[in-house]
Amino acid sequence: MRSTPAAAALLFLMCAVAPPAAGAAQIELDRIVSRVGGQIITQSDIRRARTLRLVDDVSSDQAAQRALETRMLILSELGRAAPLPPISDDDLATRRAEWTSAVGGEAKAEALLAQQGMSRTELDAWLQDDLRVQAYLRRQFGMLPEAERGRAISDWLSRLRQRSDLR
Amino acid sequence: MRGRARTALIVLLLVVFGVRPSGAQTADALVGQTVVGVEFEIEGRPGSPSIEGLSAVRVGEPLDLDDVRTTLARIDSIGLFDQIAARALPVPGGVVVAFVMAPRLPVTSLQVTGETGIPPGELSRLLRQRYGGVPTNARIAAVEATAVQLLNDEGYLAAQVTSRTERSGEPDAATLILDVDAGPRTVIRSIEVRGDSPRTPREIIRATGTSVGSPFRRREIQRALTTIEEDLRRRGYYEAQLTLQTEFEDNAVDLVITVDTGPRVELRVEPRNALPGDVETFIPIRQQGSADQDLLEDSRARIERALRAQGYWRASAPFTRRVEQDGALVVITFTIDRGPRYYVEAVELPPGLSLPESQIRELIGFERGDLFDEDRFLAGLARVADAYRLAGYYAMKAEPAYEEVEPGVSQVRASVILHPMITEGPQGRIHDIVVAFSAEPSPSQVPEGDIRRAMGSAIGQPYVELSAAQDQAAIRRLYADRGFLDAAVRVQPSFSEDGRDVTLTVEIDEGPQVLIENVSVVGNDRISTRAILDELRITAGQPAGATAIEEARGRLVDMGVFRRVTVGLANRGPGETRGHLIVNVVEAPATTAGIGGGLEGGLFPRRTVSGTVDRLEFAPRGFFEISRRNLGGRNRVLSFFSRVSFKRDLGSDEEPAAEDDDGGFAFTEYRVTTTYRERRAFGSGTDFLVGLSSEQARRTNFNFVRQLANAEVLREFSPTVSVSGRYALEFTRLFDVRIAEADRPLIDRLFPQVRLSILSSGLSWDRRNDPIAPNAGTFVTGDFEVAARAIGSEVGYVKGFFQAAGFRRLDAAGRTVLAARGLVGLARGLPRTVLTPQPDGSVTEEVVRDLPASQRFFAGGSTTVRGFQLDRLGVAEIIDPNGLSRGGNGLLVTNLEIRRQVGRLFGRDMGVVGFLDAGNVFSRASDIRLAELRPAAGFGIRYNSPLGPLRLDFGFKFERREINGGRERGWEYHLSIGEAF
Repeated sequence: MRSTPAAAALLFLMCAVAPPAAGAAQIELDRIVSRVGGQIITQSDIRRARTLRLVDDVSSDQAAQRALETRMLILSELGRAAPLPPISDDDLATRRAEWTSAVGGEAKAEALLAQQGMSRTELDAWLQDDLRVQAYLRRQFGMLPEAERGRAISDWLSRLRQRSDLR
Repeated sequence: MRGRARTALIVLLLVVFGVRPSGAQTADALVGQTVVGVEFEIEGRPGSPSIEGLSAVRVGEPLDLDDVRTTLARIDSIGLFDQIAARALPVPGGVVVAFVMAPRLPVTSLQVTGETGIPPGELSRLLRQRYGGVPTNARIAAVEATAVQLLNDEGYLAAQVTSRTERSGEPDAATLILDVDAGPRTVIRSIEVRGDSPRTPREIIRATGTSVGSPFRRREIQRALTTIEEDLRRRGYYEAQLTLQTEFEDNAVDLVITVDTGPRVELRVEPRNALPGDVETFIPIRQQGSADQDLLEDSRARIERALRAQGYWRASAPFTRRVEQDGALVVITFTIDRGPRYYVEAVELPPGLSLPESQIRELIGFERGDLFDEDRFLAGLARVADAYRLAGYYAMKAEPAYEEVEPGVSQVRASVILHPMITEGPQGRIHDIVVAFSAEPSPSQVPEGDIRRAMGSAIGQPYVELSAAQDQAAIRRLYADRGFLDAAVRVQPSFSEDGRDVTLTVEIDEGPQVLIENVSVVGNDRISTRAILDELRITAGQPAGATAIEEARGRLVDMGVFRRVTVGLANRGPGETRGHLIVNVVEAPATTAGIGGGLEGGLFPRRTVSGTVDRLEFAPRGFFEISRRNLGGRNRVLSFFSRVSFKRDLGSDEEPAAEDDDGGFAFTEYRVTTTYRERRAFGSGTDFLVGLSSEQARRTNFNFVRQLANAEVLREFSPTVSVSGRYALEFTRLFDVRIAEADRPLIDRLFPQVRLSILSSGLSWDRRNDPIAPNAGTFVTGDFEVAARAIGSEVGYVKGFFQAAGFRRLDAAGRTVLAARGLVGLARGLPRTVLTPQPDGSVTEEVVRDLPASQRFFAGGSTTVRGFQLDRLGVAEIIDPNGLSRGGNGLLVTNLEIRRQVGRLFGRDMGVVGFLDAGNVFSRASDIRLAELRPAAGFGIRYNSPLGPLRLDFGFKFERREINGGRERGWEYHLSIGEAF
């Protein structure tokens, strides 16, 4: 062919309709990356947690996975402990506002929730659990001086992870 | 050139950006495309078809990543796979979704690699020692931590251990591989001992097993220091402490062992004989290694409490602590003053109490003259308080008050009047029960009537706090059984102004009801999924009730073809109301075989020339059986069973045995049976059984050979009620009859060999709490059979047999049980005229009305009337001159027994029984008379041996009759296995 654009167009067409090479065309949809107390954490969970900033540390997949594992461990401990006071509507609203701000505003939040297939109800349930985790940690470790509190929580979480066979 | 370069760039860009990007973007792009196929792969091989039922991804539906995640969760919940992933392959028309799994392999071997510091074999040995072998079931993180700790103990303080598993040489097994980096080893640079002690520094260092230059083994050193501490405490230095300080630099450590012996402690008790027990028990300063204030206070309290329990109400045991020898010695002295011993003069109750005075006094448990123990009195008041609360006095108080009688008069004996101060408060009665739902005004999903019926509390009843708590639990169970797995229930009382009317408010937050959307079966190979689902009896759409799921699991276990069964819901997301039930089974071996042997012993009547004598004999026996299950993928079992035992010849009327003839094992008793059994046959709820058997056996007064073919159906209408129907064709031949010819029933003479064609039906109603050792419930059975010439029988009869037994606990713990049973047997031979040729050529006509010997009733022995030996009970007309029963057409037996567990012997339960039996066998059913029942009483011993429940009973006749010129023996004993009934 003489015309370069025509050659480029032909090449593009060939690439576009060429059948995928065998073995390279399989696309991973999801996989289990971790297990905590009988519940699984999948790659899609990590993706959703990072996209929607559902955990504090979303700097990497590993960080988000660790944060999800920690969250599940604490919720499991919380389930066995004495009941906490119910979460007030005001507290939930505050937490909701914090989250909306973290993801970039109301419009962005709506778009991200739709993209990740998470409903407002599910989000509220997640945020309520966040508040329960915070209340539980306050109750268990709040009496310690601030300087010691972080270390104590970290040691406690290490033991929980070891008990659950998490590295 | 420029043109060619531009073309090349364009091509390059196309090649780079024309490749489909993988990862998240592309996965999202596939969402919504039609699923054209779903596959399961396990290490490159297709997965078992049973896993396909777990998929939430459906062919023909749009791809939804939530469905993919749900499927991953379901597969994970069966616990068989480690790595599980989902992949999609775009194809024309849609996508094919493949779930790829790597099996979870059990760890069967351990391997240690890397820089282990200590020999790898040694580390491996220590790990196996810690875990009792290869750490098959241990958590991997724990094994790594253990390995690190073992290396730390050897001085490798910077050790790091990681792990991985790899498929081992064995099929379906893995090797746990520990990769070790021990790091540098810390060695001891210097050791210093500070502080004075009876042991020199050199002795202490030698005891630790360390020296300068040796590896730093912290755990060993700590163990040695603890041993030295214990030695010092044995010498009286109860507060001795040895501490280890370490200072690390590079890979070396300086050790400083500080010895603080504390003062030597001397303990004195004055007066010595006043202590209510030994010194070590009451003042354990030596065991505790401490003489601190708290321990001494506890010791004082312990002594005073023990003395008070002996009636020394005012006992005191103060202690002093004196330092001597410039602090090197501490003398602790307990001075015990028991004071007088107190006795109860009277218990004076306040007037006007609602509960009967006799009941209160019994609960308090003191009478005039009893030793006074304050703790016992307080316990009695607590019992009174419980009794009041059960009667609705929810606010009652019972407090103690005491009045000493003539205090100070005697130093040895004193008296006290007990005054229980009982404040009853109002008696609350339930005035109303209100059920409130948190989700109102929406209607509740569980009818309020069902909730009220689940409660034990009712309007008008006394209000008891414990009952309200039980109601709360019962309602919660009700909701759980109906699939409301997250229901929250609270029962709160509120009181009227005078406290007498109580309103119980039941607050319920139902939560969502979880329904079973579908059921998947995994793990089955030979048993078909259909057979399992039929037995499971759980259908899609029904609530995920806890009880229903547990009962379903029980039914699968009862099939007897699985080694393990788990039934449970796959993990659901929050708020998810559809549950996927997963049935995970591990099949038992299809073919089972058994072989065994033993020795059978008992008293048997032997027919000799001088008559019938009972002889104790032992017979070896053995059995073999083989079964094949799961035939054709359903719960079908084909079994073969054979048993043989070698017995002595018991002689017969025609050929009696010699008196001293040992005879050897002249008689072979055998039984061979083949059965085919199918549960839920023909798609119905009925079990079906077909069998063929052949046997030769010995009874007390005859031997017989029998061939039998039978078919049976059994239907369970409920867990307690079942009905059966049966047809049997049997051929029986008697031989070696030990009854004199003239004494034998006509039927036995005319039909020494008889063909019977029998139709029978049975009903069983079993409400016992335990079929082997029941202590509550009832057991009723009824069987009816008819043998008729019209269906091929040579002789005809009708026969019924009924049994009713009841069991009742006489104490709350179930250690004493009252058991009773009644047996009734009624039979009637259908008349048959038989023409019998006579020696003179004539023919006589005889009418036969009896039952054949094998169908007649017999009684006496370890399971009927225990004052009689086997088959020796009967009215006079059916007992032959040798005391053997010919059997009869009527049977009536009653038993009454008290069973008491008395303790344990060699760790196994032991019990005693007392019983009263009465019964008889009658020639005709119409002859049954209560007045002719022969009673016997006795006692027995029960022992739950490793071989099974052994029973030894001694039964004593109330009345002895004349038999063959002599009197019956007055008592009999029976040694057997299992209860009499």
